Amino acid sequence: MPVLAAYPVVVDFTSNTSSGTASSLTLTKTASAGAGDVLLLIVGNDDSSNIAQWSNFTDASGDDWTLVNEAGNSSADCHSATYYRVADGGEAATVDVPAQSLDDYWGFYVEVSGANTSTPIDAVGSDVNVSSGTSISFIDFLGTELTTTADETLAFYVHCFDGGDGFPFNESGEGWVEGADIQTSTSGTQASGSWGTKQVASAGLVGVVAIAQSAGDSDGYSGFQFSIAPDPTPPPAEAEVTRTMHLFEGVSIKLYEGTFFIQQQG
Amino acid sequence: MKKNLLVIGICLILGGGGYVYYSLLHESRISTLEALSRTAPDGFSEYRNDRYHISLFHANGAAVEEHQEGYGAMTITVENTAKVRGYQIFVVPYGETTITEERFLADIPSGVRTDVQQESIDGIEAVSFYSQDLELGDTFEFWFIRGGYLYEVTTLKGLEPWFRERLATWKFI
Repeated sequence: MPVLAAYPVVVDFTSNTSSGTASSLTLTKTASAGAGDVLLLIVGNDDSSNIAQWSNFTDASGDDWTLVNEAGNSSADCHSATYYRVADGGEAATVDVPAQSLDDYWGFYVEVSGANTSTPIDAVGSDVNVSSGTSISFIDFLGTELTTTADETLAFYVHCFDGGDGFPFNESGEGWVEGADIQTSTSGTQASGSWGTKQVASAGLVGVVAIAQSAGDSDGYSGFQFSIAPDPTPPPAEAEVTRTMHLFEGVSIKLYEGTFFIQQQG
Repeated sequence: MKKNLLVIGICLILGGGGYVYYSLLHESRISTLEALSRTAPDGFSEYRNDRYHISLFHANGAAVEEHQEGYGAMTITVENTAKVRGYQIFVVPYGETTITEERFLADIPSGVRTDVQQESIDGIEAVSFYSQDLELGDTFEFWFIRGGYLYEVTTLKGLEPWFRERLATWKFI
C-alpha cells in the first residue's frame, strides 16, 4: 500500500502591495478557501521603528485573526508577521489588515489545507533581525532554527527586506521551496519580502535555510519560522481535482507511417 | 606565546569555517541567480511559472496556454499544431510522498501503465511510463512530486525522443 502522508499543503495564495504610506492592506481570499482550511495572512512593511506593527484583530465581517508572530525592529528597518485563522467558510472576500505605522506594505493571503484545525500552529521560532548596517546579503536562521514538535508538519519561513530592491529572493536549503516573493516597487526606499515552506517529516530541527536578496548592496532583514501541524485524522487521499487532457484539444491526431497528422474536428 | 598561538589558531578555524559557510551560501545563491536569468537558445523562448517553480525552453513556434483547474491546480499546454508536437503539464497540490494507486487511477482511468522507469528531472526523482488516453491514444507520461505538488507531464508516445529534449531544459526555480 502506498504511504499516506499527512503534511498540510499550501493550496493557493493571493498577494497585494501598497506603495506609499499605508497603515492597512487589503488582501483577497483565495477562490477555493473553505471551511476547515487554515488561512494565513503573511505581511510585511519597511517600518524603521521598534513599534510592534501588528496584533490580534477582528476584521470588518467580524472574523478574528490571531497573530502567530512578528519580527522586526529599528535595526532591521522592516517588520514581518503572520496571522492565522481556521476558516468556517463564511470569511469575507477581502480582509483589511491593520498596521500601526504608515509604511510601504505588502502581504499574502495563504490557504492551507490538511492542517490540524484544533491547534494549527505547531511551533514558532525566534525572531531574526539583520541590521541594515551589516554587510550581509542574506538572512538565515542558523542558531535560531525552528524545532517542530509534531511529525509531518509544514514549516514556513517569513521575512521582510528594507527596500524593494532585494527582490527577487533566492532560498537555499535542503527541502525548502520558496512560496512567493514580493516587492512594493523596485526602489531601495520601498519594501519587499518572501516566504517559503518545507515538509518536515519528524519532530525536530527543520534544517538550515538562507534567503539571499538580489540587490548588489546589503540592507536590513527580519524574519522568523513557524510550522503548521497536520490534521491528526486525515481523510483518505482522494483527488479533488483530476486531470483533464487539454493537449491537442479540439483536434484529432492520426498516426500514419510513424508521422502524426492532425484532423480538425467538427 | 603558546596562548597567543592558540588564540590565532582558534581565529583561523572560526574564520575558515565562516568562509566555508559563506562560500556555500554564495555558490548556492549564484546557481539560483543563474536559474533566474536563463537565456534561451536561438529559436527558443523561456516559459516561467513562479507559482509552480517551472522554467523550461520551448520552440518559438509553440503556443503555451495555462488552464486554471481550481483548488490550486493548473494545466499548461505547450504545442505546435503545425508540427503536431506538444505536451501538457498538469500540476496539482499533493500532500503525499508517493504516487498512490488512487491518484493514478483518478488521472488515468484507463489504468494502463507499462514499461515503468525510474527517472530524474533537475535532481528530483521521477517516474515514466507508457499509457493510453481516450482522446490522444498512446501516451508517454513523466510524473514527479516536488514542494507539495504532483506534476504529470504527458505527450504522445511517438514524440518521446523529441519530448525528452524539451524536458532536459526544465529547471525548478
